[in-house]
Amino acid sequence: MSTEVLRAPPAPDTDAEIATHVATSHSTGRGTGGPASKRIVVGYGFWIFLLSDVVMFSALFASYAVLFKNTAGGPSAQQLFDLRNIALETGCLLASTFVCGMASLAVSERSMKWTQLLLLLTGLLGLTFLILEAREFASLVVQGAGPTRSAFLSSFFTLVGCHGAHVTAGLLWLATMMAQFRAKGFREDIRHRFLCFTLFWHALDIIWVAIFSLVYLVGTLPPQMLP
Amino acid sequence: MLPRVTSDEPYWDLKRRARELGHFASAEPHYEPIEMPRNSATGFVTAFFAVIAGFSLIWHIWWLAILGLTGAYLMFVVFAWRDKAEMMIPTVEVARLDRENRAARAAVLVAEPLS
Repeated sequence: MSTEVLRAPPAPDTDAEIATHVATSHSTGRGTGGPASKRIVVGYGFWIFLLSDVVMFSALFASYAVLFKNTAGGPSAQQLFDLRNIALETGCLLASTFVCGMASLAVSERSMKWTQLLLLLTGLLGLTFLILEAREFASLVVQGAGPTRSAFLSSFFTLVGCHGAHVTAGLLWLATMMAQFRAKGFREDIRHRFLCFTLFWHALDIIWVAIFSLVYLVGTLPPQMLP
Repeated sequence: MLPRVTSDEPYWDLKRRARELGHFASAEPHYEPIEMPRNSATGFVTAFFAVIAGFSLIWHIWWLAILGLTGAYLMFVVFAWRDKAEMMIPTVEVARLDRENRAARAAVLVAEPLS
């Protein structure tokens, strides 16, 4: 707490007084240092949202782990998953996140050309991931291994589909973001939104790494190695 | 605008001291303009479309689901396109409101002195 507050100077009433006051004091009435900058506040709020998302995914992971062996006489994970396709999907998503990181460098360099180009590439890699995932889902359904076949497949489609829905929403956000950079330039609030988008995109990647390891890698282990 | 805390029960202490003294223990604070988010109907409109989307997804009414999701997305774009997200309550207004409030409370202190 600064001593200035304790002195309680007369309240500025006119605009001129306020202007002088703002120009001469940095943290009056705001403890030491004052509230965090808007960028920090925005990022913090978005982290809280991401954590709530992680809580939801934890529940989906838990139900998948519990129902993993409940195949109801239907196909098991080992018979269904094709690791080559999954490796491609993983490559797309990881590359997309990397390019997204490059895009945020382009934003801090204020280069519109590179920002748009790298964001477009981020989106195309994300779209490729989605198409590969949709093909995987379609081939499962065609094989008679749709979400209604067994508890194992219900939980699988819920978990992986929920991630896919997030990627879809992320692509919509990304397209909006590109249009906003074009229409409004590198304005502060737009950059804050972009910061949130990069956090979202990286978080989706982290969740995918968990899906890749716990669903696909564990699912394709030889049966005698499973607990 | 952060509260100054000097004891375990600062609010109660403040009230007790004010009643003992018969007037406010604290001097008039130093007023500053307050930044506030502007009013927006976004939450209500998005919730409206989300209800439509949720209902139609449950009952497999696909055209209505598309309508609900599109509506929610359009609202998102409209909201994201705003140029002025915040407004300032000017110092004069903050001071007026707080002084009114202090005057009302001071009147109570005078009318009901500590017996």
